[in-house]
Amino acid sequence: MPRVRAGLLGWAAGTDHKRIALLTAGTALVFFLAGGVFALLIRLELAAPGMQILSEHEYNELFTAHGSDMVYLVVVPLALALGVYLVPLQVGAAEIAAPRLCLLGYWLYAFGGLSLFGTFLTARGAADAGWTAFYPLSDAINSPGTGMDFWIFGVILATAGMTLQGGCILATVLGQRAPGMTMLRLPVFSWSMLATCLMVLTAFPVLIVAMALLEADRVGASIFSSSGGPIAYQHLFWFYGHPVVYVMFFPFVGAAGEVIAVFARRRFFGYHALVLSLLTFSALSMTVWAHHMFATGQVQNEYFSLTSTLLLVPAGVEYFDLVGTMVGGSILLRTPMLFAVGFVLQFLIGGLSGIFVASPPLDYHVHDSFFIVAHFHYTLFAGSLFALFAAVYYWFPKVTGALLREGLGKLHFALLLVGSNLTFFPMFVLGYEGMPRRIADYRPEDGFQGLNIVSTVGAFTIAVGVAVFLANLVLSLRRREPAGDDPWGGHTLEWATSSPPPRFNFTSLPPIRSYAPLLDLEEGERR
Amino acid sequence: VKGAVAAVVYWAVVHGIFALVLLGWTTDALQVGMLGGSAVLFVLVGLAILAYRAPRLRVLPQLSVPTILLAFGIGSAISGVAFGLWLVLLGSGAIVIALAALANELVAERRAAR
Repeated sequence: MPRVRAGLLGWAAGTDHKRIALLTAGTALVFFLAGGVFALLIRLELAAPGMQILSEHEYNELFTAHGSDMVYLVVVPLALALGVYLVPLQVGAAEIAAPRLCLLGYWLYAFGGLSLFGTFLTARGAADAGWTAFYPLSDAINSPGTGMDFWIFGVILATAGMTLQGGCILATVLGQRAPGMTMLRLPVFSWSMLATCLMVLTAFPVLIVAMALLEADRVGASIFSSSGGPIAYQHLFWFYGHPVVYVMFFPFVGAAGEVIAVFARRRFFGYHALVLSLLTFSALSMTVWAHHMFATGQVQNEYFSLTSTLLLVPAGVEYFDLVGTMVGGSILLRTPMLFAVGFVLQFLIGGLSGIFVASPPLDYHVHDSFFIVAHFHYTLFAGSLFALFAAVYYWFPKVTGALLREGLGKLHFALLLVGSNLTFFPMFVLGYEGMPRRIADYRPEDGFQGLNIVSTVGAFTIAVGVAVFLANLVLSLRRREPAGDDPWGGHTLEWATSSPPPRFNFTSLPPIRSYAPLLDLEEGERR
Repeated sequence: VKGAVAAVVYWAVVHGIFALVLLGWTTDALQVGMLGGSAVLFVLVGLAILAYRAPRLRVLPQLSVPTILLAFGIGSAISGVAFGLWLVLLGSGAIVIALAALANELVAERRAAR
């Protein structure tokens, strides 16, 4: 059995997909903590009328850095890191396809992150045009200085890195499956990664082009300054900006699906319907981008409202399958399952509020308000992040060979559940009552303070929850509770190898007759 | 292989249909082009899958330092747009060296596989 090279160089330049995934996830965790600190500062500033701790310019820098960090450097990389680690294991491959490209993807992402954070060191400060960098806010006149340039380079590098990793995952699913692992025997999570990577390969290069054109415009090429230029920028941006929401959702649906099936002690319900809905949902998600532009009056509202509302159908199928898997199951409420159920419930709030804003008249009312902030935080934080934690608690024993502490895990879940609802639910009300997003201050007579205080208390509750999670990580790694190879009775191939898996993943593979080969074995033995 | 091709071609078909439907509302080349271009892209991906033959044996190196150098070179060359020509040149140099080293790695990998 080949040994894996130890030491810093072994980690930095290693071609093992598991190490590349852990590097990506570890780096994203650091960026997550930084983005969390930005969020706390924003919440502190908004807790009361008047400027408390930040200037207006600093506030703009912070919400730009928070949004950019969380999308480009945290949730997308974490979603793809899950795929880089797990997909080769789930499809029975010894390696990820094109491991050097995957490693190159990590380093481009890491340099991109440095560039994004390096903007704070520039003479005129960090970029402050929002994570969308709408034109002309982001042009050389309104965003002078190199801060905006380095933000653009950071986005290009990080996005290029993630595109490479997405390509490697897709090539692994399509071309490196073990004998017997047909497409309709792929585990649910691998299908969700396939759909994700199709979106990555379509949407991410468009953002790279948009950013390159924006930079060219900033250095004098007059790309977007002509009539219709700002709208063209928005088309390019949202062709990336909407699918990326699903890139930050699909892998977690797959992860939650695996967790729910294992902890409900039954086969995943409606597998074929789920596969079709994942493919349809992801393909449709590329057709809805301009619903973000209803309020511009420059897009075909009927078409984009129709396609956006159509998303309900495959989303409903996915939800039906997730709930159907639980119905009649023998449910074990361990920490991964708690987070998975939390994801199902809370993402529903985010998803349903998304249907409101798919309707142009309703969108006009809440556009650019805190309602939108609540909507996407319910999808990305209260939704996807809960499923991410379900995945972390579920696969941590596979990655490390040790279990995370159950008591601390449940405390983490409770704090996050309370914190996320305290933080984000008041934002729906604030937005509906007219509080605009991206403002550093409001007047006392606006009546926004009470709900803003609740929201700030919620944000600090989340911070305590994250601290509990970090303590759990450290404690579980230092005082290891051995997990064995398969502590949960998993259904898929990654549980057929040792924990952590060896360099080339498997010494032997069980027969693959369905999307749950280990469950097949277990049921065969019972018979 | 058929299943893999079917998955990506399904995507291409959905995009093709919705690009055609969009034509009922607008002939804006950017919007229709992005969606139609995506349909074409995935037809090509489907063809690439059909043409792909997996290598029988690969002997990957455990480490690939030139890959890091390549990322550093790309990052430097791009940042040089704002920092100055010297960084573009430094980055370009790193890219050339990294590509040469990667080619060397690939040749060694093929020799070892034989």
